[in-house]
Amino acid sequence: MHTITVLEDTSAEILLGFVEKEISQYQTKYIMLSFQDQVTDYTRKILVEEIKKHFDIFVVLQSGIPRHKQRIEEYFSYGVHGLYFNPSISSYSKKQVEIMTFATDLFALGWVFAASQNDKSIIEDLLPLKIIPIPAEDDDNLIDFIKSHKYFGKISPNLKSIPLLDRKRADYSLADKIKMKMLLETMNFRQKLMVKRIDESFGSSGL
Amino acid sequence: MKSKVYIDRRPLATLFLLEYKNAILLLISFATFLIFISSDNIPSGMSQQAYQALIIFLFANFLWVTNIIPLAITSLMVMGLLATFNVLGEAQVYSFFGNKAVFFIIGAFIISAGVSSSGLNKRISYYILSRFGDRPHKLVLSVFFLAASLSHIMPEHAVAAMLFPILMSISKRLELKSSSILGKYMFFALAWGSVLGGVVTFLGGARNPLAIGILEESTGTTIGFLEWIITVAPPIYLIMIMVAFYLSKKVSASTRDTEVLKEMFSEGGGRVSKISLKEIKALIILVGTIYLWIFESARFGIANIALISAALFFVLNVTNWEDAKKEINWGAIMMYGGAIALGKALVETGLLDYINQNYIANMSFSILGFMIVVLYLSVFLTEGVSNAAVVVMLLPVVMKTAMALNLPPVLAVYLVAIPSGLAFMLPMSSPPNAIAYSSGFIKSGEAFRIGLVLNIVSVAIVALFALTYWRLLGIY
Repeated sequence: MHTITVLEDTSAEILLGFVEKEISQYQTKYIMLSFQDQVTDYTRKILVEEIKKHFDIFVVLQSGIPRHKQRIEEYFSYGVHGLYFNPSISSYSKKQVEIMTFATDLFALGWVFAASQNDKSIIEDLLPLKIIPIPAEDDDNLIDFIKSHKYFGKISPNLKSIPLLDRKRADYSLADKIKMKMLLETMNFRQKLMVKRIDESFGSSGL
Repeated sequence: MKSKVYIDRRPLATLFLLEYKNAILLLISFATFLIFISSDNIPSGMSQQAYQALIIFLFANFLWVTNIIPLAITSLMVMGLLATFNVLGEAQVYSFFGNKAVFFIIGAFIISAGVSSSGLNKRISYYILSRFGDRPHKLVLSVFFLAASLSHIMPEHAVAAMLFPILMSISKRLELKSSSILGKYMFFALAWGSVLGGVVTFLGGARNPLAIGILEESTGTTIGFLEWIITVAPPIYLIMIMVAFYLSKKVSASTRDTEVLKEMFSEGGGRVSKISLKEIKALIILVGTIYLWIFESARFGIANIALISAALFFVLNVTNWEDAKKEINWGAIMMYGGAIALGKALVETGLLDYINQNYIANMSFSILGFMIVVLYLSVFLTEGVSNAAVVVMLLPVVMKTAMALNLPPVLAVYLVAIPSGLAFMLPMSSPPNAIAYSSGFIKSGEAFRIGLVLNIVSVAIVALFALTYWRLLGIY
């Protein structure tokens, strides 16, 4: 599975084509999006909405670690289900950890991921913070280590195939599909309840 | 559309309840309605149809008060329920849309559209404000009397909506801050003038024709256009004089120089061109219509005059259907058909007789006590509920109570309809208030306090006239 990078001029139609190709090629139940800086928040939101409108799929946003917590709220407002922090650094600063922890409060449990640089000490640090560490490349031993960790069971999304961690093609039974659909709709509903537009709030005041 | 977002972090259960409170309330009320309407536990002496009419009436009142579905939709649903449960025959229920009050209201909306399209109302407003607005207190009083006068011939919300942008330009030109005394009382004058003026005729608010529609359907009697004005105008004009004194006194503290307004109304954007043929035609139709309503309504009927007058605006090419369509409040018209049907159902099924015999007849009301209770109930109910809904909820019962006290049902119409239009306190209680609030000059706490006093004083004055003047007129 690849990360789909959305450029400033990427149309919804092209993006949907990419997503469709990913789904048919990898039978995946999640896709990872990355936005070029020039893409506006409004466009990001519209594109994520389009994907969710056409496919029953979890959308994970890949990003660096923003400087401000408010940016995490903006990511959440796009309608993505999860966040994957993949900064090109070898260790996380205290401030970065704080920002990532903030994301775990906002997103559903088990849907905040962070690059572990295949470093067991980082993995040990991230899991208690409810962040799922992601190895840099397929490393079965490391994945087993993560999955067998005492904290992993408490935070892992209860899915047959864990997003980003299980990269091999999985066969889904009808029960798996129903479970996924329920989880997906629950997360969408949670998001719908939590994300408020300021003008809506003003309008509801009756003025 | 692009807009800022924020994340609401309250517990999901709270968010769910807030998001779906209307749906939850609607489900619960529907379930409760179905349980009661299908119950066999009918009070002794009450017919099944009367019982079902009562349940539908309570259900409709709940929906009108909570406003969880649009008022018009509640009314349409009421018609469906009355017919489904055979409270009234299907043909009879739907025939209430043929009530002449409904057609009078349609005509009045089109006349309002015609006046607006011609630009006559704007010309009058500009003329008055430029001529009399050179001192702060004169400006505020001009706004007040202008709004009140226009609300005699146009729906009050249309008057407030028309004057609002003009007043906003004035406040911008005078560089008024949100704490400005002049700004605050200018917009209070807009709201209060529109509200008070709207009570005096049938044209200011559709609730008055609705009340007469219910009266006609229930008793066969009616109230003429001139008769209404003669009865209602004196107490309302006295209230207006008192409000004018109050506004004048409050604004005297403002030292703002409003001379600059004369320039504003003679400059490019604000300048009004020479009077057009359309405006002359609109003026002639309007004057003719009002003349016929006042002096010939017994002969021609007010609804017929309204519809012919409305047609004249098209015949003489003053307005077009596109403009008229925008002015006609179809929601209000939908609401009135159902409201009149419900009022009729309460009478025809014998429900009101039952309530009267079992409850009201046992109460020892004095005429004064009856008036005070009805007036205050109506005026405070209208603060939270649509003006027209107050009429529908109270009038059938109050008419029956009046008759039990050997008072004419016509008196009940005045006692309910007048205060139902006098909503001063809250922004949601009437459209002119909401429009004035949106200016940003009015603080809700202050509006609430002054509005409360105005409500009490207004009702006291109406009660005083009811006890003296109305008796002289021979109303009861």
